[in-house]
Amino acid sequence: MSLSALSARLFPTIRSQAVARMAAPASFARFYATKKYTAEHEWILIDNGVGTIGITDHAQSALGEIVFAELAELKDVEKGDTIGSVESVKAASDIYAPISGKVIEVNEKLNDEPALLNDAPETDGWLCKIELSSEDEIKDLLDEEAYKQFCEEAH
Amino acid sequence: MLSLGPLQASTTTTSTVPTCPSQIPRPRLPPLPYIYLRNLPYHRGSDLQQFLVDRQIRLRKEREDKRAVGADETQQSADLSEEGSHDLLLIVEHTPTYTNGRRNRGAQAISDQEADRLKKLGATYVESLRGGEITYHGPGQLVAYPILDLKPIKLSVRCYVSYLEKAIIATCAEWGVRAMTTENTGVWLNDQQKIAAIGVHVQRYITSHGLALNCNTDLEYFNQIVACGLSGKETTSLSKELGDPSINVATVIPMFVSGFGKVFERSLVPLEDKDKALEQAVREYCQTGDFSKLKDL
Repeated sequence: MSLSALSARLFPTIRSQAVARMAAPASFARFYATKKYTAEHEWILIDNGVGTIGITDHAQSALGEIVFAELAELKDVEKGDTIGSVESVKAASDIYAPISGKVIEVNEKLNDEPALLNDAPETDGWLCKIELSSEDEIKDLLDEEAYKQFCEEAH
Repeated sequence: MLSLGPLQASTTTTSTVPTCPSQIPRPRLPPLPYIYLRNLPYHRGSDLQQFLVDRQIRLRKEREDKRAVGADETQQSADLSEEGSHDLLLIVEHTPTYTNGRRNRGAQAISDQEADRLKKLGATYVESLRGGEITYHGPGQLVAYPILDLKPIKLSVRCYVSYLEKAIIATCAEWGVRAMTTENTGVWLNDQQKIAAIGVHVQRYITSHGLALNCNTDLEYFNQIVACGLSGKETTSLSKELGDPSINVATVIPMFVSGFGKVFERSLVPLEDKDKALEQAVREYCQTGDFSKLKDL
């Protein structure tokens, strides 16, 4: 899933349009995934009503070596709820749901390989997937430009 | 993105870690109030911290919202000068408690028999939301819980922890004890002997939990556990190192306050001098467990 999400990002015009046409010909599904950010340094890649969530490269560098990821529970969450934490240098940092919905999958690989959060925070080191309950909330998230600016101001 | 030079590409280190700033990127925040609380049961300390963290997050949100609706410039600069004004440093001496870190909660926790064994030693056992692994807190140990907003001081979590280590090293130095950091987080006298432990929780840039420096702690409690998950290491105290039984938390506090202030570039003031009402409400909560006075503030 994360791989297909990645390639959708790399080839938005060719591949995911084709996929979208094949997979959901009758719907007006968006043709390519949207990547958004939060002020808590999380990213969310929204594709067909499901958001894949992780921490940004900026976040992993600010945290240092991550030794443990406390994964979300599979349940309904409200935007802003704590959905687990990541631990680095003896500090546990909470992760927040960037959007309301239902947690439908967590990245179990992180149990054995928390280092993925440092090595590939925005691809293989994803944290969980949330099925969005309200697409309305997407507009409150930051786009790439706004997030970049936020990082520059913050640090 | 990771940028490894061609010659480093095959080494085991995964990324080049940026160094922390040698000074706080944005000092000159308002004075930081501190309060010393003795005989505090651990769970009560945790609840108090959570209350103070939530309060800080709420007050910061109110400030940001006010700024967003476009207050005039004088108002805006007044708001900026409020940044960090709700920071607070709790200095605590706990009743005997073993605590475990976030990753060892629930299913990963110690067995019931092990918890029972620790309780028989006269300590309670608590699972905490901080980072790190099992450790001991009790009389004779200076526990500091800085409730700080990392946003205005522009400090990353990694560098915040490194600054806590520096503050402890500065405190030890005032006693003439040379302390250092090693690859294992915390403060050490050498590779084997640890004098202070660190375990932090960060929620929306607000820190809680913090550090535990052994002044004249009964070190026997540490022999009952594999402290911080590191076997073959030893825990020591200022009193033991200096061979001076008169050293205790109260005598170390002035040095700690000075060391912490130097490292974080902030003047520290007793809470009672800055906000008498808050000081009394905190003390009353610690005595009774009743939040009502605090909530009214």
